Amino acid sequence: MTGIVIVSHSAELAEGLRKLAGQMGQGKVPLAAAGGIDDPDEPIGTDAMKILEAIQRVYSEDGVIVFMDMGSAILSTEMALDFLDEDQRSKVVLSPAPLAEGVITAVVTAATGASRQEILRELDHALTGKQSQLGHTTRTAADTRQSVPDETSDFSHSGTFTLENTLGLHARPAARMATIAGKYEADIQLRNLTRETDFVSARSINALIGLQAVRQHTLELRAAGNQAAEAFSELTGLLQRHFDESTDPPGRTPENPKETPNPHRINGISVGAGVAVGPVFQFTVSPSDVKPEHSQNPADEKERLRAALDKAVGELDEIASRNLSAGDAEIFQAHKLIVTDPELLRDVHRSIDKDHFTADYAWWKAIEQYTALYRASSSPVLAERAADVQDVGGRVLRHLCGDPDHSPVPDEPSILVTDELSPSAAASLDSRLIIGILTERGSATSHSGILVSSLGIPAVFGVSNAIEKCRTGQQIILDGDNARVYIKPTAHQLEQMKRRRDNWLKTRSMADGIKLEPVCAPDGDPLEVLSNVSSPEHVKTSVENGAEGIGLYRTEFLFMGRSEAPDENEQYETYRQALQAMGGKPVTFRTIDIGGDKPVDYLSIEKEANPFLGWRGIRFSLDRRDVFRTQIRALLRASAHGPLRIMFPMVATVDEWQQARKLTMQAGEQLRSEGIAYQESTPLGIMVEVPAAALCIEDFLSEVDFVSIGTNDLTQYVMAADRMNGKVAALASYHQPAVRKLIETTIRAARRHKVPVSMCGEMARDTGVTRLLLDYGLRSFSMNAGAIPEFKLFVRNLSADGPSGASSH
Amino acid sequence: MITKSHLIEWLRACDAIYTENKTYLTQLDTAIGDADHGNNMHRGFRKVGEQLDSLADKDIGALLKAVAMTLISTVGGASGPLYGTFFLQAAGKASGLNELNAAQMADVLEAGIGGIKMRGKASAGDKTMLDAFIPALEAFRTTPDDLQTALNNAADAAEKGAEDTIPLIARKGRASYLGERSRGHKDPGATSAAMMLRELAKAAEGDA
Repeated sequence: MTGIVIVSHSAELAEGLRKLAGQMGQGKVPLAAAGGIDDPDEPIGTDAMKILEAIQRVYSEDGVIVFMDMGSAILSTEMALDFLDEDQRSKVVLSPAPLAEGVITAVVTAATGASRQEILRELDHALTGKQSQLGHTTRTAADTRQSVPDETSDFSHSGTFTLENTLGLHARPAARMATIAGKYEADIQLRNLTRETDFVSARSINALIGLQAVRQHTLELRAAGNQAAEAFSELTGLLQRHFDESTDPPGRTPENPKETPNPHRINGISVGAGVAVGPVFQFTVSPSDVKPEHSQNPADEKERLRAALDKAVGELDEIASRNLSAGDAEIFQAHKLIVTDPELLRDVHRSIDKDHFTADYAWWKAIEQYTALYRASSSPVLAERAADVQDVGGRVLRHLCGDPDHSPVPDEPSILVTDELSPSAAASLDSRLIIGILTERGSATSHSGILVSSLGIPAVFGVSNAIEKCRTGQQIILDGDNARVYIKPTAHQLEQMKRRRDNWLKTRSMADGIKLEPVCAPDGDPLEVLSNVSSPEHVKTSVENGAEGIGLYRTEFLFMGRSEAPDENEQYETYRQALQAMGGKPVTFRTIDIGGDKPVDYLSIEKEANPFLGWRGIRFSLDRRDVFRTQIRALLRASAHGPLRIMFPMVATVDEWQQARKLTMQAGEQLRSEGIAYQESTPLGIMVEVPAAALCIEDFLSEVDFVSIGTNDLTQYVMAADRMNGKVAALASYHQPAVRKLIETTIRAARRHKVPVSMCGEMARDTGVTRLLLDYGLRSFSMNAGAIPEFKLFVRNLSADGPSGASSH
Repeated sequence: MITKSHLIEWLRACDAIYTENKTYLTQLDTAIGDADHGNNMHRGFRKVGEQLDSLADKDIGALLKAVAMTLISTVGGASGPLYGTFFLQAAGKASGLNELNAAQMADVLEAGIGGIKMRGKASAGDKTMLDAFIPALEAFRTTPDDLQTALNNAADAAEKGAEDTIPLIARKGRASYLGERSRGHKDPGATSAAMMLRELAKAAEGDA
């Protein structure tokens, strides 16, 4: 891919522009900034050596385009070229385009896989969009005539669309369209019917902006060529989703840009890809689970009730503070009124005092009575309130019961709507009956998120008040690709989304067709696609989905939900069975990683204020050597039955690793003295998930047999952002440059030291970054089994594009 | 003969002269440019000055090349790549030499000045450093006498050339944005170039 260099007198300007452009290039385009000089007192200036380094940093056979502000920036850049060899110099072009517009145009065009020549052609029009927007040209069509297509093309697909997003076809949507259009082998064109423009190529961001299409303008899209259907379908989706932007009338700024003001379409976090269309199945605490139990201590029960009510009110306040529209506020106001209704409370207290019922039962009984009362009402408005009472009653009950786990089982294939999915509920979902999942809380990297994503069910998490908005039986659309829910879909939307679901199922079936075949990187290197496993059941799905081994076997599941630790034999059996089920394929077992987020009484792991920064992983294992030694012995014994590797989690220092290795060696010696068989050369490695380990990776690489990058924890530790906290989810992203930099360093260092490196976090399955990771040198990807087929399909297509990874059009 | 020691003394003197004239050059640049020429030249040659001791055992070509590299990455303004190119091209003509006779000196100057022309795409009368360098080279070449006289004449011509930039309209660099308003001011680049050549003539007089 062509590299881009930004040269400016100001380091801040260059760096700021690099970031701005980086966002638009989706991290795919190599970008380097060379701004300012190294003089803290007078930092304004240009430095030819800095420019030279920047060019070399992004240089590839696809060449480099350099953008400069002016004056010495140009001279210094020319000077820098003098230091390149002849061959390199011939592939570096200095662009006369205006700095900001030029860089953005180039990055967006490069991201489509365009060649250097194509980018340079596009740069001739870098100012077109701005000029036409400012009315500096009346000849928009003429300016973009370069893009006007050959009229003889046979356009197999066409359609018209009305722009509804607030800002119209501005730079960001134009960039998205151009990026998509560039992916396909198709001639895709767009015109503005309202302004009666000519058709322009949808691959040209400037031509698209030049259409001057604003809100309420009607556009016509048409496509021809081999991949016209795919391109048309994807662009249609983008247009119909209004580029995922606000559709507010201009002039009004939404309170929270993440909350779409359209009340019928709400946003969340994508956890499972794909689209589901179907009836809602609400899953909260079921009344049948509340038994008429007695308690001899009414004061305690009333106190429990008060605490649960407090928590529920707190939640409602918290939700209300996020939802400022009048309608939403009313709902929560009503819910709070229900919870704090003195009549209701009196009934519950009486039932606790007189009948000695537990708070749970007394509460739920009262809620049921109220619900029945509302339901019996002839007024539809009041009848609807029954659901509210039940909702909020359930909310309090969940606090009373401490969130027990249940298996949601609807009667027909449905979209599950719940407040928060517990991991065990997620694990027990039946994908034939649950075709989509919508939750109020949780994130993609929470444990239930990880479980859900391995099921291949479209899922959107983190949609506040989803329960209030989606009633059981109501038809909704769940768009897991775009983290979006349509709660009152139109017939048109339903039809559209059903088609998308069909396409998605089709892709899945294609992926299923090739999932058992090996794949290669575009350069021909064999690629290892492994699975992450959290329970013995996952081992089976791993094999079925084409995993070439298990890259991460989370052993902590063995230790959870029981009253004493599994003994050596039980562990040995579990590990041995996993190895045998994999039939000779390697399995990397991670020693237990339990901490204060999942307290385990029998291990004296208590709740901690900061469990993710606390006593967990190898820190726990090195302190509790009895537990660790038992696990290591079980693992080593299992190593006699297949290729087994042992990996230590949460390693921060070389000393921790050395201690863990020493204990492992000692356990081995003990086994030998007992005459028990094990594989003496069992590879030992570490998870790279603590930034300290990543930063000092070189120190580990000379000693470990392998490393595996755990991107989920690494990301949250690097960014100091809790992945479970939706409010900082954008920070807790592996798209953050700091995270990427550490990942790149780790991979490249491991390759240099010839130490096998794999990745086992969410990032490994994200095909949006696969190319990048391949460029870093990663050849082993471990992911939830459900993601493997589509990942393999993606890599196959990538390889079909040719070794450079650049598309041929 | 100009020896390497002469040149090291020259560069040391450049460091001193640009330190001394930092404010003056910046004032000139404030009138028609971006008010950084004095600081830029001072910063660049201060760095050169610091490195001279470590360059004592290099030949003239290597010495000039090291100066070029330092100026390129420390000056910051347009004079960085321009003087950088001057020294870099000059270095190419002095490779392996430890002293320069008149003819070699002429080649060195011509190559350096040619580099500036190439890099800045400017010519005589554009109100740039070339308005000092071009007449200086001309004067050096046309002085039949000894090397020292030639250098003195070159420095005189450079100073006159710098003075002569006052009525000119700038056609290159930041000053060209001012158009007509650049008239009436002395060009800072031509001024620093003249200083550099005067220091060269002075350094050549010393023992070496």
